Amino acid sequence: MENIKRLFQILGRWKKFYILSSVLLVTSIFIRMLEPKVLQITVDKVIVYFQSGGKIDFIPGDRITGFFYSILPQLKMENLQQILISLGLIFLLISLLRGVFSFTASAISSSSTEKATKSLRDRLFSHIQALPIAYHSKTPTGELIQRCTGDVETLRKFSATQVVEVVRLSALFTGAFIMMLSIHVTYAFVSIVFVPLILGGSIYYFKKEMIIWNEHEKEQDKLSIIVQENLSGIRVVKAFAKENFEIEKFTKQNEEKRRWGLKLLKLNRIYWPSSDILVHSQIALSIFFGGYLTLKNQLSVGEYTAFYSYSMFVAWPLRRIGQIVSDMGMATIAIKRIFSILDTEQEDYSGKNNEGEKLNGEIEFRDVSFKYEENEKHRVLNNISFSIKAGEKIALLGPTGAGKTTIISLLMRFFEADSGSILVDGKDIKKYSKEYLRSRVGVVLQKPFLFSTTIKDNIAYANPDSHIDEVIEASRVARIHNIITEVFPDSYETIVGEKGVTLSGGQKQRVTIARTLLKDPDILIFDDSTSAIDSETEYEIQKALRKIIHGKTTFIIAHRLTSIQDCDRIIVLDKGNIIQEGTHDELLLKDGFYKKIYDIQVSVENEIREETLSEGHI
Amino acid sequence: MSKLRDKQFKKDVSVFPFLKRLFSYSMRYKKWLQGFIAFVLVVSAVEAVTPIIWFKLLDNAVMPLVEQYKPVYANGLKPDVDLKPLIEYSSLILLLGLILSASVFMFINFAGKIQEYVMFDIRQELFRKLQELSFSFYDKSAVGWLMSRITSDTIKVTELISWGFIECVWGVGMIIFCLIAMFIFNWKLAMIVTLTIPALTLISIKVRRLILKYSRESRRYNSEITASYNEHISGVEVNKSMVQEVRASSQFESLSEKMRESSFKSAYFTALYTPLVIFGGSIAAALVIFFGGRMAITFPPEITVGLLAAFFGYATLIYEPILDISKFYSQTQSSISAGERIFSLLDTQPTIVNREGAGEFENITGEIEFENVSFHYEKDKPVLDNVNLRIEAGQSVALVGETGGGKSTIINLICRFYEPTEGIIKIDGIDYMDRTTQSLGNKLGVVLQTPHLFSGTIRENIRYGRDDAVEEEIVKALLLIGGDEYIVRLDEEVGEGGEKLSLGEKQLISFARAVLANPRIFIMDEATSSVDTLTEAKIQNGIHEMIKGRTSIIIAHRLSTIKNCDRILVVRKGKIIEDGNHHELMLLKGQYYNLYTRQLREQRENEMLAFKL
Repeated sequence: MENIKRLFQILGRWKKFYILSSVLLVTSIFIRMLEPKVLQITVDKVIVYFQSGGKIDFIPGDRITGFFYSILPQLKMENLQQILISLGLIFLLISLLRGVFSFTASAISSSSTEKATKSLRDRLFSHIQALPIAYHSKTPTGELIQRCTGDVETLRKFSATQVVEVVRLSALFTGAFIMMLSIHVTYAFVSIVFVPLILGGSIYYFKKEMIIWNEHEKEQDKLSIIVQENLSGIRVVKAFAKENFEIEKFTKQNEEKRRWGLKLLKLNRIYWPSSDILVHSQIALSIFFGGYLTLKNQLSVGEYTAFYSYSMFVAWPLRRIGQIVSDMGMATIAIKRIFSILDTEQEDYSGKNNEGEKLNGEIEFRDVSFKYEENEKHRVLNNISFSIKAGEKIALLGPTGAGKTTIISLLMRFFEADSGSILVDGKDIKKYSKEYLRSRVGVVLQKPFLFSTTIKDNIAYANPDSHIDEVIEASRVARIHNIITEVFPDSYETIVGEKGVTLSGGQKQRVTIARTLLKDPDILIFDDSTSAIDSETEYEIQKALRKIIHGKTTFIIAHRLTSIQDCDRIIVLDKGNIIQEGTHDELLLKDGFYKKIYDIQVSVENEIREETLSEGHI
Repeated sequence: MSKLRDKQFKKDVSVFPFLKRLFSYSMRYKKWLQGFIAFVLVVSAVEAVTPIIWFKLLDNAVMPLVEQYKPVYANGLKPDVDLKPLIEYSSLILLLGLILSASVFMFINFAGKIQEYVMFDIRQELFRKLQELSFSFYDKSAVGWLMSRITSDTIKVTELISWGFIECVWGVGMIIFCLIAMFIFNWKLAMIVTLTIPALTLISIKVRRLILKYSRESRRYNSEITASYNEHISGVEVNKSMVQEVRASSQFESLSEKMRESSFKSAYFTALYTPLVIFGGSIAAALVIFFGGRMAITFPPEITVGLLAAFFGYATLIYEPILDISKFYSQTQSSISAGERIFSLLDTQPTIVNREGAGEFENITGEIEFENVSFHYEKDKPVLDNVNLRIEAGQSVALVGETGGGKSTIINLICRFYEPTEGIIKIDGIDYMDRTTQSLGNKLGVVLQTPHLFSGTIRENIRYGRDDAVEEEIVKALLLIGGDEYIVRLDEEVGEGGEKLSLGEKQLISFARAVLANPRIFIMDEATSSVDTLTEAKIQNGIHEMIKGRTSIIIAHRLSTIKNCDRILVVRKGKIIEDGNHHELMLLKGQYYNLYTRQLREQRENEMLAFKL
């Protein structure tokens, strides 16, 4: 029930259109109820009258029939032509009205459904964009996508077809039943005696079907996994010449899938014929009883024919209720999953925006501690304190897992520190809005991520209005301009990614560097962003950067000592603690991690020299 | 390397060749197909007859008696009602209902079986084909793309030939039987109803085409929407650090708006379609009332009241089969692309096939020889350029050089994952094209750079190297590579693709798998990613043991592996530029010297950074 409420919440703004559509639909169905009446009148009134040579004039049994009588031309022998034409026209008019109403109803409801779906899609998209990184790091991308596409589609189909179908079926049933009641009360009830049976059977069946269907889907998934594994490991399969083994494995699962498919079939071939038997028994009963009443003079022949049509209206649609119930089950699951996203709280974007103001770039970490998960044993950062003057160039060095990237994430407020505080320009970063802070801090992320659009749009991602000259300037500094203009087919308009050119790791990193530079931030961070770039190019980039980053606070996370030697200060981290701090020269004088690494370089040189020399003498 | 290349199939592929090929599958189950068609026809015949029974009932069991009793009732008396004819007709209707239900049972049974068995068959064929296809095919096809051939596309086409086809057969049967019945009883009224059929068909085709057009369009937008979600969820960190969440969202909104428009248009025409067709049927019904009414009141009546009711019934019924046939038509249209994708995959010819009369490699020593071997993936980009190489039996060879230089290609050619575009490769002096690929595979033990495991236990994964290996041999293989700890873990499940194990563990197991195969030729593409020191040492040790007395070709990244090999080949730009052992190449001070010294430096630094202080 909760989920139905939520469905209405999604349909929300369009609720009144759905109501309007339902009203139109109900109207159209009630108009449809008039169709059998036309035949009834033709038979009862016209045919009987003329056949009897104008002697027998039937007296209308109910109000609707009476209404039709009143609008027909007067019943006279010479009016025959007109009466029949009028009847034909009335029938056409009814049909036309019915069509117009039902079309308008469908058009309105599908327009609302599409609008509601669009708004749900947009809402999900922007909500996901606003969810904290902590959520994203825990939730697999595939799962989110499945919810935004598959589940939204399930919901769309359900509201487009089944919500309307529920209205349609209940109106059809009620309408036909009312019409029957107006003709003959007992007959009306006799015409629906099998209804509870059909209904109950359907619901029972679809519940059972869901169970088998689930199993069937599981087997189908297993089959998919086998294929998936086989295809991603096809090189192993071929290397070991195991094709036949794989085929056997696949065949076994394929047979298992078929077995469940046939089980499902067994259920289907019982359900549909037995519900058919019930429906046909209902029809036969209605026909018999109606005939009986007619013979008993309680019903006219025309009424009998109308009744026949109405009982058809009642019986057939009932078989579909089960389908609706089972679809509703699936929609419920989809709603739950969609709301598990929408119910997750967004990042807090509040705070002062300081439009246009620049940061000086002073940074201070005061006793900052952090761990990603509450139950983790070790802190990722352990009471870290350091301060950086505006314009300083700082290197962060340390083994994997030391906490380098975490420091950056905290500074960007991707995560919040568990304790301690981080100050920028002497003010707690929580006092700035995230938007402002992030717009003033430029970070080149560890994993270079590009969007599948043009190179230009990728570089100008943060400033889409940039002039092409600015884009080129940034690309020059990042040493990617020449590659773009000489190697890529459409220069800056080349589309990258799946649909276009695939870039190498180093090229991607250079594009992301250009992207960050163009943002013109006050604080710059390079998070291991040159790992795939060869030393020579890296050196060139550094040289070109020097001018740009002058006066800007800069962080460099790198593994190669050559990349960080000329920093103002080097902070060495290990297991969430700062273990060393100082300039290159200072650190070389102390025994410690930094010197060890440096020594390795020197010792390697010596080793190689010795090795070649000694081997040369052998 | 493997890049998505979703082939764009022509939009209007002709329907008939597609259907013909598709139905050749259900023709395999001829009896079921015949039974299926027969029983669907029975159903449509019974349903077509129902209005007649109804009119016969009116005319024979009701009307005469009503006439007969009329004076009695007029006199206020109650006649002795004769129910016998009514009971007879009602029973007939019930009987027809039972026949109908039984036929429904039968055709559901047959259609379902056809669906399941054809699905099974197509999947088997596809999977077999996928096992046959060569590496060059896999380089160009994304796994996800191939997966959906076997999963969703197969479902789509089998639904068409089972449940979809029911609608078609039923529709055709219904139209034919209705026409027969109507013409038997009154050809004039029959003509009126018949005339609506072509009109309705025309409307159907026109509107259906429009619906198809927009639903295709919305499917296209749908995949763009999925791609957009994918991209901006994967790149959410970039969006946040660039403060572009809002702009990304508004861009998405314009895409979802396009999707909404085309999706709505398709729904709009669908909403228009049914009332339109029903209205067409109503015109026929109105004409029946007019003409039929006149016929009923002539004296003596040209038609009976019952017949009028029956024709009225037919006129309001005739649109249904047309709706169903048009449904089949549009289902066919939208399944064509799925079918095309399936058939194009089935028609793909593997590039590497055994030559006719190819023999088997039996006991080989493992000598490998390249004679003027050249290779390219794409015509104008040679990867190997006239390579001549002789590897003695039992020799261990390390291949070093930059990525893209041709190292992997040499390995791929030896394994015959690809065949040389020029030149000959001989094993034990025999051109390997004269032997089967399977027998070559049995002599090889390959460890690939990214270890791939299959779901199942560790034991099953190791045994993948050789099915008939006994437990002792598995243990021995593990001991050889220092995987002692796995001996007690053999029953552990590794999860899908080995996800439950760490990279290092996967490497060790895939190594043990190759060891178990006890190959004459051992081939390894050493993993570049670092594992923990302990595992690293074990793997090194394992390699050392493994290359003893076997022909081994290793793409080596770790210095200790390189130094351990008898011979080192430096491969660059498709040529072997340096060839010799470590000592010789160091003295040369060429490419190898540079490579070695640079790597030594980096490796030490990384060791320092990656592991404990």
